[in-house]
Amino acid sequence: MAGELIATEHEDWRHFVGKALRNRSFMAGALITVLVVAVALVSFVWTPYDVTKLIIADRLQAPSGAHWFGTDHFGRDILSMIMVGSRNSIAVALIAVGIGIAIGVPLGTLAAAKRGALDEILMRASDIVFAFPALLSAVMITAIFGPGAVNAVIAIGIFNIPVFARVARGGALALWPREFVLAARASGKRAGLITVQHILPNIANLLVVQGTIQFSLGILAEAGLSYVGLGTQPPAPSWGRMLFEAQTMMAIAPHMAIVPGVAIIVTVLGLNLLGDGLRDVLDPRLRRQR
Amino acid sequence: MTDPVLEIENLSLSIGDHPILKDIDLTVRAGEVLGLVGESGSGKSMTAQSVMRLLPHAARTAGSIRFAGEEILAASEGRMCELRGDDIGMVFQEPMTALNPVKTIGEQVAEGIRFHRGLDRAEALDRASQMLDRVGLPESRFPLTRYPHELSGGQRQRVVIAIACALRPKLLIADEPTTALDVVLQAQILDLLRELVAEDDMGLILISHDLGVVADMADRITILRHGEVQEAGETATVLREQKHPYTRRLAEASTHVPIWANAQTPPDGEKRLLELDDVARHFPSHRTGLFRRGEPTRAVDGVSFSVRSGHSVALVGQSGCGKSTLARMILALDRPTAGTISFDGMETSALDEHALRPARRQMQVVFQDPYGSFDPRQKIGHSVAEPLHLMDKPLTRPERRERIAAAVEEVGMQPSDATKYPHEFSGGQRQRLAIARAIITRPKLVVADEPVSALDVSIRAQILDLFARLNDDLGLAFLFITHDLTVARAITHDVMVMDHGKIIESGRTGDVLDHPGHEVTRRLIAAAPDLQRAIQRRSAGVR
Repeated sequence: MAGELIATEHEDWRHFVGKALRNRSFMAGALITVLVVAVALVSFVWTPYDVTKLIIADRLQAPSGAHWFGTDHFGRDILSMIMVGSRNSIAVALIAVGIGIAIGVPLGTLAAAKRGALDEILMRASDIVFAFPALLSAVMITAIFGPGAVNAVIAIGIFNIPVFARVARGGALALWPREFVLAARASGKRAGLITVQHILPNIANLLVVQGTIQFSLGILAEAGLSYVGLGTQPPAPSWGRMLFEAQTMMAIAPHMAIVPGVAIIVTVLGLNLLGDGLRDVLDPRLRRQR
Repeated sequence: MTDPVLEIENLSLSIGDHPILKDIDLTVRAGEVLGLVGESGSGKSMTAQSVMRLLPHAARTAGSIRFAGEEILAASEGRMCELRGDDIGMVFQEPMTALNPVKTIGEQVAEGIRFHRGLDRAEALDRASQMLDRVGLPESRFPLTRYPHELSGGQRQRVVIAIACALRPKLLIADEPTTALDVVLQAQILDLLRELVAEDDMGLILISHDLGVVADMADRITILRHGEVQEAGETATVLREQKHPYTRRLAEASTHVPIWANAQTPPDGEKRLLELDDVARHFPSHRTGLFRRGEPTRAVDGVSFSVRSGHSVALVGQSGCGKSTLARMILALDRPTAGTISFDGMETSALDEHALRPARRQMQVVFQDPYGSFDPRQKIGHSVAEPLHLMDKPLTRPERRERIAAAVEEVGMQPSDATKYPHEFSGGQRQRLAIARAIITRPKLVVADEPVSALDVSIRAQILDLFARLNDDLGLAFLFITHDLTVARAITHDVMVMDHGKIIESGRTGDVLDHPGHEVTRRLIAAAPDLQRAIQRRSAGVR
């Protein structure tokens, strides 16, 4: 019955936690994500070795008790580099998602509220952005404006805008004809106020789920840009550039490629699991089917 | 007397520790209609699902269900798949969700025929076409290649019935088959079911909360409450004698007419509160070419009327006649294509949102669906207080709390309810709270769009009483939008009948309903299920 469905849309915090604890992919994803974030935070105060010091004598060591993940061709400790590099990956992806939400959600909810020509223009504009392959265009943008973490953030962020605009618009469009929104309109509330009070709280779960997915894509994109030398610049370590540098050493020091590669895979996997789990936990329609 | 098609004995069902059904007994014979009546949560649908063995996983059953002598509760899932759709058919309440939106109606009817009879596609489609013809959708006018969205609600329900009856089942279960339809369509669908039962000698279990419908249709009736059979027997006897107190309560509630001071003599409302002058609303139609569009749909087409203050007026008509579009324009949620709407001396159809505020304060709205009318993520108090946004100067917190408490108490709820969430309330309670929201600014007019059609009969009676009292106490004018003539008769002074965007008849409620002057009005009245009339007819037939 429709009523029961809506009734479960509102979740007690306790109820939510109970659902989440029983959802395996949520728990696995949350665990990995917390771990990665913790590693990044710890790197601010402590790393096993200083990543800016080059000790050529220790170069290309295989993993050992002193260097858990070995060292690179400049003798830097790979574990320390992974730890510091995670900072960059997370910061770039997080800010890019932030840009997407901060610009995309207002545009999407505005399009849903106003409909008509404005809606058409905004959605066709987002179609155009979608039509370009995101990573290639990001390469182009950073190539024009110069390589660096800031430009990488902007380039990735731009492609997050239409994603969030669409999700927000879709969710909002489904809510506008609902009777509680009509009641709010009959109470003289303007579209902006209704969006803040009624629409956003009801589409928040959609946005959170999309946010985790875009976050993982952002980490991949940052790694990709750094790999081609357009992302984070040396000497700051970055997972993507570590992969690039490892390329020529593959035969003599495979650990140099394997370790950052695994770091990227595990982080992206964790975020995707978290996103899937969140969707199952938050979305009452999917949950009903279980 | 023929052998029973279905015998249920001592059926009990529980989910977890909650008993849902307790010792249900019922029998259906071939060619017989059994009415299963009860309010929400009484276990009617669970009983039907037990017969189909379509219960939730956690459900535990005991007792016996025998279909044509075969024990269903012990049958294998494979055997049930053979029975379902072949020997036992089912018709659901919501015709839109019961059909697959991406398959044509021909395919959907043919699907079961192919599966159960092993016929090839062409033969199955041929049978499907015959069946659709029987349910009143001849292939000449409704090709098999139509999709569900190309049909109206009543036509969709005919397709659902065609699917259920395609293989001439011995037993048909219809779970609230007409609740989503207006009275005229309801009468047509009920006629169709009656014909099919007679022609195919099926047993029919008709599940409904509407005693009027069941009295009209069913040979025997079983009344359920809290999962227990309250009374069972011949429909005429049960409903005429009303021996069981619960039967009497249901019958009284379904013909309930509130007693209120203003009932006969509306307050001297010389002042015209709401005036519509030649109002029209056209919707652009589909494109027929790159720059061309077809004729616009005239949802509302030149409507003029007025509502005086303190009067209660009904706007009745079949679904799709334009009454909800009209209501939205009156509430200034939509603008007319032509014509003017004035409310309380202001021409609301010409004002912008800011200038509308004083008018909005004086008119509020109650919707049909008590589940959809509250934001599930807001506390009730917050939603109820929403119209206070229209006050010129913001209220202080204590003032606000006082207003919420007063409004909530006015509708018979507790002030402490304001801190709860919508899902903590029943449908009837939510409808009360929706009314509290509508009256919190002390408006002069409340527009109510089918305010009781989603409610159980006993709740419906209480809500009607509440509307009556609010008219007495607050001098509120009402505009009821409804297809249910009993609502109009119970609670309004004047009635207007709408058809195809035009008002075709209006006048004092009693006059119009007793002496209808227009064909459409007569059709509406004839189609409305009437408990007393049905009982009389049945009693006459039995003797």
